Amino acid sequence: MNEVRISIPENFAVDEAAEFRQNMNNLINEGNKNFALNFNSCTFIDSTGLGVLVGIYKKCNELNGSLTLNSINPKVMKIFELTRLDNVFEIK
Amino acid sequence: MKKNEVTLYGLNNYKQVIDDVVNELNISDDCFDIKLLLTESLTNAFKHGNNGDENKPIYLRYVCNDTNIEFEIEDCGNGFENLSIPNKLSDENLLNDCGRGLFLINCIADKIEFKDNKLVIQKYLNVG
Repeated sequence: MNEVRISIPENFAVDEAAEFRQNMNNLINEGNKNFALNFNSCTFIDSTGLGVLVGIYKKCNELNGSLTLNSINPKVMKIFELTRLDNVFEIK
Repeated sequence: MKKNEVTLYGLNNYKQVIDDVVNELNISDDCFDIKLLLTESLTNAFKHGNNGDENKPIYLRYVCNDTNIEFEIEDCGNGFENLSIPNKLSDENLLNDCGRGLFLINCIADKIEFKDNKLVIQKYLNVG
């Protein structure tokens, strides 16, 4: 499986999330469908960031690809839990 | 007691504004929560209240003492009529692309109130 590893920005909100969505769409259009997203540097996420991740998740599912999220810090993790997305994504 | 008012046009400068508020109030323990409350409320005010118009102002006012902070975010829209915020996101809405902003504000804040075109948010601070 050819997996693309990507780092999530430190501040994953409004502008950064929009830029990230564009980059991910480009990668998907180039034929990639398996992604590992590393949250090691990410210290903040908002609902825009979550929405972008959900959009990517749905695209990967349609393509029978995979999406894993790694190294999420506790404060960011709390946002996944509040929105119940911790039950949707594969989080390592 | 500290109080201030900041006016934003669009979201170009919003991160600096939030950093300035956090720094001025010296609330490092609550930094993540305050940043989330302000990011979500300013984004909502711009997108929904002002329909993405960068020429319309957004007013951010805050009053803070040692234990409590109150934010008021005012946009140029018609207010929040018939708005209900769920206590929990349902299974059928779990994979929506949007619609989590007000839900998160409600989760993180201690009290929220809609007054015409203003959102008032109360947050008790962690006192160490």
